[in-house]
Amino acid sequence: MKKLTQILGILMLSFLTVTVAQAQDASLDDILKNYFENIGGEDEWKKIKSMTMKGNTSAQGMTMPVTIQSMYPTYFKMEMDFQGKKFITAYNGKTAWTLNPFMGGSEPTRMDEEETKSMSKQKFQDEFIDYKEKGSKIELVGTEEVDGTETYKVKMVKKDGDVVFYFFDTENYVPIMTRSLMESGPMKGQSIETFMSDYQEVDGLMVAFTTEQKMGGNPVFSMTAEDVIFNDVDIEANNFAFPSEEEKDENEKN
Amino acid sequence: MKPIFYTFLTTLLFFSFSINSFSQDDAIKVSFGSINARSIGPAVMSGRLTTLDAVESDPQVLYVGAANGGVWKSNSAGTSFRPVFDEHTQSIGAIAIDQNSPDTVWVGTGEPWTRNSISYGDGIYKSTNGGSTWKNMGLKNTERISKIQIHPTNSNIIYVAAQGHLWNPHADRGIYKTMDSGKTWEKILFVDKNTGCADLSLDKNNPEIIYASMWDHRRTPDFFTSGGKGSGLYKSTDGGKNWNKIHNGLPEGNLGRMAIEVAPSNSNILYSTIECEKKEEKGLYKSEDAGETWKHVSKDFNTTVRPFYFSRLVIDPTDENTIYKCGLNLTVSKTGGDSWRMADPQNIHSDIHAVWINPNNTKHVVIGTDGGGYRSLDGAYSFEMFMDLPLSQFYHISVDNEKPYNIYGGLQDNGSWVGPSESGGGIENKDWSFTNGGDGFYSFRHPTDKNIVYSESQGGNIVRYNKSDGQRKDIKPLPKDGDPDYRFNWNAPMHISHNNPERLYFGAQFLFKTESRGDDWDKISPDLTTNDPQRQRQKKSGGLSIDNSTAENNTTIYAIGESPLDENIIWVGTDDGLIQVTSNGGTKWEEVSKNIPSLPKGLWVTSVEPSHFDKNTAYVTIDGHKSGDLGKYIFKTTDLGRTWKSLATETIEGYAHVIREDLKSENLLFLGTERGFYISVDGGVSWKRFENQMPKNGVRAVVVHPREDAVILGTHGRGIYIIDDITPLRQITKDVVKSKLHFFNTKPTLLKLTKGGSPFGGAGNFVGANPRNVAYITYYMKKRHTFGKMTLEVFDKDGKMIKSLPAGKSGGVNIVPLPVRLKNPKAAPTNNRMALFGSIFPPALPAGDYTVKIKKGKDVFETKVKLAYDPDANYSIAEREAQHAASMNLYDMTNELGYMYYAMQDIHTQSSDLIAQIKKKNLKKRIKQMAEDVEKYKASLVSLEGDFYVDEGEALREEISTLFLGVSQYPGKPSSRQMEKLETLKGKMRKVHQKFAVFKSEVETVNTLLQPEEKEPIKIKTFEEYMKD
Repeated sequence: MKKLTQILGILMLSFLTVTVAQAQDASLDDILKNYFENIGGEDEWKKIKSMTMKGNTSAQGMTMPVTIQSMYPTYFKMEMDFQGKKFITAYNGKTAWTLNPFMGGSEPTRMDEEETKSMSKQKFQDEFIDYKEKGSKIELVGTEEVDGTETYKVKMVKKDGDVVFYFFDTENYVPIMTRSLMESGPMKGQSIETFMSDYQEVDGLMVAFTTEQKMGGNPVFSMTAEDVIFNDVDIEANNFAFPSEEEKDENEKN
Repeated sequence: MKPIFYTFLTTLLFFSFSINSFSQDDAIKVSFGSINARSIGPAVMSGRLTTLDAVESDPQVLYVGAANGGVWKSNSAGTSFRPVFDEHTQSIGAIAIDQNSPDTVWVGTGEPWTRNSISYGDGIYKSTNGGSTWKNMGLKNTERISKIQIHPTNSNIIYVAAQGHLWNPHADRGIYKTMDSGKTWEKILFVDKNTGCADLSLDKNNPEIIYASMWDHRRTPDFFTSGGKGSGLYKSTDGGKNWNKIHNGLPEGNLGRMAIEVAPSNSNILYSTIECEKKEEKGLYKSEDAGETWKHVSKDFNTTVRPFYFSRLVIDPTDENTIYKCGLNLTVSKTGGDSWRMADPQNIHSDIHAVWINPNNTKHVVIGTDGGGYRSLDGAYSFEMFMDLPLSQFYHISVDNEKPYNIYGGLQDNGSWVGPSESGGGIENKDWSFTNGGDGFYSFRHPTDKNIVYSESQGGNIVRYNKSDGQRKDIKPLPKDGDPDYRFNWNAPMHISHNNPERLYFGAQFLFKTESRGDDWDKISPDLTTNDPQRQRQKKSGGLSIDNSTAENNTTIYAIGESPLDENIIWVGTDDGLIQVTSNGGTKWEEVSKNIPSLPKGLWVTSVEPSHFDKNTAYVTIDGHKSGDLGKYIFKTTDLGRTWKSLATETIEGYAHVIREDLKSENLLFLGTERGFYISVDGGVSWKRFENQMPKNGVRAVVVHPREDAVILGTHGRGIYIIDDITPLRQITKDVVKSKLHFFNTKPTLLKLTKGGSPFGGAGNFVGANPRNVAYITYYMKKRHTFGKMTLEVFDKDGKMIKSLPAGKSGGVNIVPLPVRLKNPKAAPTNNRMALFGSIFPPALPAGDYTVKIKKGKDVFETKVKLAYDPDANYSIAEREAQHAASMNLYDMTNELGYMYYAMQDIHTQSSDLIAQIKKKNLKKRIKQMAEDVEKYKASLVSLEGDFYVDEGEALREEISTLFLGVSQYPGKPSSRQMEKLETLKGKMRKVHQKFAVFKSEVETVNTLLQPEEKEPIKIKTFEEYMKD
């Protein structure tokens, strides 16, 4: 009897090992639990109300410095410096605007309805924090190979119906890619994939320092941060507002 | 996890316009990482469309389905398209848009036009987001779907006409119905295992009424039968619960493939094209009483031609008397079938399969043909072609040794063409040329004579084409007196010897050899096939309509391969399952398929590949789908066919078309199947599907370029794909895949000249991508890099860091493009467009050796990369170096001027701030003066006024950048005037440096005076600091 139990035990163990190796058995709860643990803790992340990322972006073979400021709940501003000209895209929860010297001249311009709607979908806080309260539904859909690595594929359907797929590395439970569809513009309906890597620790939290975006498999944008600052006191709502007349003049002079 | 910035892309899209002018135990588990295949089309002749549908309330939204090229969507009524179905099966049978909710689209896979080369599907798909994503909703084993009809007021009710298996009897066919939008299906009409539903028409005015055409048919390797006792026209009046035949007035005897349509504007009017036993009874029939009785109203050729391929009728939604008949031509009747006209026959491709009429503007007509899609806005009198659909269906391809090399190939119903592997501005439609007509198959350029191209059309009609005078010679071997008729396969094999460029082989049931370019042929074998009369019925093929087009020719040679190592060893594969080999140039042949015990008899040998490394080794692929056998048959022999080993594995999907051995690495094998492209790096022990940028399309041809280290794929429905550099794959070993990071050896990258293309041809012209003009840093990582810092830096021969690039993070092969240009200049600002463009692009890197260092966590990995000038370019090394030197001068000036400009700006800012704080009058005055002077001088160096368009100025900064643009855009030496101007600018720069030195010394003096005031000194960055930021 004892021998039988032993044999059964060994069989079960090897069975389990096999299935774990095939990464089929992790539940959604396990994934999220490990994910939050590995990035520094859900509660710790909740304490973060603003972030500044300074680094370089690479697009079409050119590199330029970029600063991304963001603040809870939906404040964003990305500023690129190119040959002395500033390129800005920003949103403050109400107005989305852009300054693009190559396309829109030297005046900041408000974005149209469709683009503003698109900007409004970006939230400062990690979508998985309090996802239930946010009205999102998540589902473990299976596994998929991404960048030569096995990942768990998690589907999130947000309250407004948008669908995003997250791909969590099966070994370390951090997302290495997300996939969704372009909402507006000439690329509407096309699949866009965002790859995260170079996770490094800042104030005890793990942040992906490098982000790369691909559309239809073609790289369109990538950014590597040199510096990440949390809860910088200089980040405030005004930074994100559509510039007043005086501010516009200042921008022009420079 | 931090937010994702989707919309910042809009800001960056600006860059896209400017860049184009100025990327087992023995099993080795490999990951292809970032190796990509580029699609080069062609789209100029396009390929077979089988179905289409558009949104009635917004006809700009148009979906087209291809025989083997997936589903493409246009938002511009066909001007341009993008593929929306690439993750799924590419053979498309029917598309239906739910007009009440047009984001819901149904696609039935598996083309219904059952020609011999047809592919197969895997059921029905649904999208609810306008085609962005799709879900398979079942009916997976129906193999082909001919029509989908959606209930007009209840979108949950869908009727599907499942035509079913073509090559064997099977019960998954008939009419299926769902009432819950595809969750569950019910088979509501089934006749027998040989009879499927070929057409279906729902009366949208009374949706309980449904008409159906059932078709009894079968294909075998040598025969096609259309028609039988199972065929019939049926009607239901209760949503498909009960069915009755509606044959009153139809011919007696067996019926074949029939189209059936009810007029949307009059439910009593039905049209049907009938295939039957008696020739005089074939044609168009009409019912005026909803199917109670039928009248024969037309025998027009287009209503009787090839029913299996052309049975589709479309009735004008507003006029019951206007009918469009798909066929060899598109014919239109406005008199209920009484009289017909051909629609634009000179300008549209023949063989029309699908028609869509805009119900709100019936002059707007869209059609799908064997040569792509067309649109008419004048009621089908004149059509314009969609030039953006790269759906070309290649059977075979070959390459030449030009620079850049060209690709030759034969296409289904679209002749033989040749096009370049790269071309200025991208590979455009105009870059492709026609070498022969008919259905094209094999096509080769003569290995050494640039002017000679061998092509063929169906049934063994081989020609020798001379490019220099455009003349074609018919060089088909004709039977001598006493010879039996020659049996050529529709897709007769041609093979050029690797050992003798003048030697060409051609196969009928005998193997022929010529060394005089086809002027004489030697028969070098006996009948190498089974010569089985049971497989020689093609003359009677067709069933109720004889269809002897040579498409069903069987018991013929299908594949030929002469060993590259021994010209006396020749391999032959036949379409009736035999593998024959000779080792004495054809004197004696041995049949060796019998040595493969697991192989069923009588299947089709699709390719033979003699090894480049060992003369006794060869590979074969065998395909049984035409006998209803979907097994994967891939075998290797190392003893001239005495014994064989199977190389088929579970991972392979689709029947096998071609196997190719790499030319340099004997463990690297390539496999093309009906469902995609597979690569093995371990000699066939394991196979991995290559799907980076490649849809699940049938890959029929694979060629390894002997010089370029590229693999070129001929797909049957998505044109040509090229993987430009397979050298990393050649270096993959067990040790490599276990490495943390392993650099691959790379060839020197040639600094090539870039050319522009022809601009402004309008949207909607397909352009194939060129290989990127960059160097590649390739390496393998056993695991993806996710945690910790990873950087990639490039150093020149002096150890100076010249570039920092985003490192590839993938597990598997990483290919990081190294743009062969220096760092962007950091210029002073300007409001002059040309000057701004002139300061965006830096000079190219000089030729030489560069060191690459990757820092991954604590580890450092290093390799060398070499850049070399293209030895074939028309510019001597001295010239290129002169250009480089001049460019560098101007580049340095741009940076220096930028530095001084911003430094002066800095001085001005800091000085201005100080003025308020200084009490001492003299000091205050001095600082104020300095601030003014520096500001004035700085402003004189650049031009910032104007409108950046037609009102622009020019100062020194602009002069430098404008000259740079001129010098750097031409690879050869600058002109004397340009060099003189350069000297002038150098002189001006000297003055600026001097002036700047004066300001710096003034700043130093001021700083000394500030010390006692306990104020912060004015700080000026160094040039190095400026360039680094």
